[in-house]
Amino acid sequence: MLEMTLDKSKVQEFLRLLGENRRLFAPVKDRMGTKFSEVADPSLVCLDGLNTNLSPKEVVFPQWETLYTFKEDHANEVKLAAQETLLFGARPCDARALGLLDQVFTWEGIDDPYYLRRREKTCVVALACNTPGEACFCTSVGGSPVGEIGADVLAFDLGEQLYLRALTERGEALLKEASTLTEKATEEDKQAVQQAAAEAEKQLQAIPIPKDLAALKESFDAEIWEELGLKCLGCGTCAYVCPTCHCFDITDETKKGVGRRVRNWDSCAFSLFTLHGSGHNPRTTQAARYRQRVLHKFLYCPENFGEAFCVGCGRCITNCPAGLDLRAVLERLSSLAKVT
Amino acid sequence: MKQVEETLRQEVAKLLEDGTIDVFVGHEAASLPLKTSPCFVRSPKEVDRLVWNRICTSNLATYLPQLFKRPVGLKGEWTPPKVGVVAKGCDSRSIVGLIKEKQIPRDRLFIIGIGCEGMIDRHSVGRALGVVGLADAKVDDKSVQVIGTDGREKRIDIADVLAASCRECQHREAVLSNLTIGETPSSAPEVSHYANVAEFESKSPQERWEHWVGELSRCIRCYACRQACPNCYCEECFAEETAPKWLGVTTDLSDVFVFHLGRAFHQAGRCVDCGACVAACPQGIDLRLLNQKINKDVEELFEAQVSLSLEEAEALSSFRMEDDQSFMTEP
Amino acid sequence: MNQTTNPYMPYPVRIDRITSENEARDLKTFKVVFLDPEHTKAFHHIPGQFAELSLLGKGESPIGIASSPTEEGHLLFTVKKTGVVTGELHNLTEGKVIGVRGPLGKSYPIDRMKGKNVVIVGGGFAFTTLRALTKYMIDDGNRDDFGEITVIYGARSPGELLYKEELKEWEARDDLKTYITVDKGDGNWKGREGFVPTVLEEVAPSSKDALIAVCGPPIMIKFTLPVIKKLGFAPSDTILSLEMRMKCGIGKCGRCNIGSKYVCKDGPVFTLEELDVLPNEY
Repeated sequence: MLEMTLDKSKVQEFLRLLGENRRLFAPVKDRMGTKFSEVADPSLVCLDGLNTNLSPKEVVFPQWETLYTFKEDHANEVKLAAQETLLFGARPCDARALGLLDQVFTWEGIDDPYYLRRREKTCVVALACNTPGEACFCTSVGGSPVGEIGADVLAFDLGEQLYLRALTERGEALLKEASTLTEKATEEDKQAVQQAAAEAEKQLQAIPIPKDLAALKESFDAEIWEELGLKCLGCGTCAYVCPTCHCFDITDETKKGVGRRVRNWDSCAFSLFTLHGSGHNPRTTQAARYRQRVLHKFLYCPENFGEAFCVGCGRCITNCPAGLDLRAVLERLSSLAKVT
Repeated sequence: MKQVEETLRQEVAKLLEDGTIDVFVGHEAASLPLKTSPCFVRSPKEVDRLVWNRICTSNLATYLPQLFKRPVGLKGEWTPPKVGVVAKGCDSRSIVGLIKEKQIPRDRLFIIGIGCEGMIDRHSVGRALGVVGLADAKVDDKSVQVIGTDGREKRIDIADVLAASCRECQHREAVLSNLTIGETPSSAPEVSHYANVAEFESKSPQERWEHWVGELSRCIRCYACRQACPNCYCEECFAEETAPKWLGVTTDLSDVFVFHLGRAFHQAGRCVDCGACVAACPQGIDLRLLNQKINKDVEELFEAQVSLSLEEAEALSSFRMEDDQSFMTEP
Repeated sequence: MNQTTNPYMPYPVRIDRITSENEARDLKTFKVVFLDPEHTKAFHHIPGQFAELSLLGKGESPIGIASSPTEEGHLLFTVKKTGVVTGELHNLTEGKVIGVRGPLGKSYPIDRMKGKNVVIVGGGFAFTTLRALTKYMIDDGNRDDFGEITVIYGARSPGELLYKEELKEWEARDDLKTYITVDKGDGNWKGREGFVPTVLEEVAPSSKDALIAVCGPPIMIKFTLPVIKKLGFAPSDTILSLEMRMKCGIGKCGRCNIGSKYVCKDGPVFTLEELDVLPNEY
């Protein structure tokens, strides 16, 4: 696979070139640090931040989208074409999260056309992390600050230049497209990358993750959920900033007989999430709802997909208005598992 | 401050020991710097979890109503618990409001009031750091010393990162309490009250519109503002009602505006400007301006402030002959 | 484009007939026919499966398919008026066009039931997919595939029984044992009185070479399961159908899970054996 270097002074040019026939999403400065934004002007791109405040999942799974429109009793499908897209500067955890979302949206052979139309057209250039962020724990959940899953190209910040490694054919094609701006990576570059990778991984904290699924199942009736439920405010922040949370709602909106059926992000923390039409609600307490979020990620997803649906980006921790820390919860669950 | 924290722990231990309360709602340290988490202490042995510092930003009144709800599925007799809570000025005003709105019972509450010099706004610290994260922080009386995830250190004047609500706070002591501890806070600053609203009102409609388009286009409909607000205790919020459906679910400006304006109107004459919504917002939207505008109107129209005592009737739940009636139109 | 490429698109169907099922008038059966004959051919369901009934402008509601695939050319849905979608559905008149998205979910284990005796236990308006199952088994072309068939069905009052005319036909048949009961009869009721679990205990169908399928309100399930156990039915031979709030119906939206199982795609039909290992959260 191709290994190239790009002088940092040419990053803007690189993005301008590749953005000519693509939508370009990249981190830009924001009052909350950085955020992914569709950028027309590459000079706005900021690669100095670590995790953006919101994850880039919205590039392939937007907060809301129209499934189809209708007039009276006739439904009209919306065009399922999507534009070629370059997602530049997503961190390896976010790229890996896309890989997990792929599994849900193609689960058991049922493809979600709305997700896939964007995903299939999205080329992901991930940017490896040299130093961890304040709440990062990717290595504890099977990821890496230099991980390749979900990405088409992996980039390393080597100070003066970016090292770019193609990981897929699409990534290779992308790099070839910009070959006038890049140079072949030297042995020296490759060594620098190896060193940076080793350094980065060393710096990450290791937290205990409950891996014994049978023991985790036993935690369903554990006392810890009670207090966590009292603390949890029941907002959707953790789910909405999470790169792997994918629950959605479907609702209709009409004006004078013309309308649209919309799907939008939803969260298991909301009290109405599971409320039946009959008035019955299987999760009446916030404790049950908080437990659902944690166990969905660390028990149900491992049972269904073979891995936890958490990439250790820490966004739920930095953003929780009640100061809840998933790492602490996992630690407590792990110690429970040891006892039982 | 350390001393106040120690006194708080001792008092809570006593209250739990002698059965005055069953549970105490306070703040505990969260794992990230400059962050605390509400905690529920049930035994004297646990009181060391309680902290009192410049980052006890949450309005604990929000966490009280749930404790007085009968547990789901419980059969037979149930007595609501006796609950202790630590309250800043704003928390205590929210508690007064909730008592008046019959969401919590005064006779099952033990309020420990602590004078407050203002709390640190974590978002402001983040902004001072720029695009890097906050690795560590130390707080003293005058400043916050922070270390970014890039390893750089920075000393920030505490006055520069106080929550906006705290800077203008006129009620720094609990307005209702069973016990007060700590020193009397320094007198409220001579700030121009509602300066932000006045400035906003002086703008042209076009500028005001653009301001709110900018702010509200950031909204991700997570409802953290609503959930963190002590006044938002509705079982089913108008934003989620389906029959009738008042607004759509998207982040289209029209939907987001209806939500935030609707919520602001529901706060009219009830908002104590605690800043919980601003602190909770993961997108750093200045929701306070909206509520403050309405607070200002209520104050000017009815010469009343919100929830200062249990005895006094609230502006919008009482009627006086001299109340402004200019908004009424002839049929 | 249609459901074969986009699982979120409903098939348009016309409401052919509406039957009011009960005295409270909150239960109606909708007979629908596909507008496009191609869709009739494409829609292959097995008893136990459900579909999302789609009302453009109101939303969708997951409803068990009450008709058997042996009843060709149409589908039946018995709907209780509870929310926005079902409420609007009840306002519709014959001839209106609505949408059907499906078939969704797992069916009753027909293949396992073949060659066995089958006991059907239903309560209230949850009898819908059990009707589909019964109808399927007693169809001329299928009847010989199954052993003895016993149907026990109850409702609160005579007026609340679904499919009253059909039940009379079933009672008259000799290849099917039908026991209809009501919690409390009225002046005209000449049939059985008593709760479903009690009747099941009295009838005491043999669990030998038999499967039992149960569907009803939670309180009925609660008191029926111990009887089923006492009769000797193994958890793997005890079949239940669950209800859960759903949206997508295809295992994406994350709303209807019980533990790691999604009611929409792993259910709604489960064996008791499967349910026993799931958290008690439904």
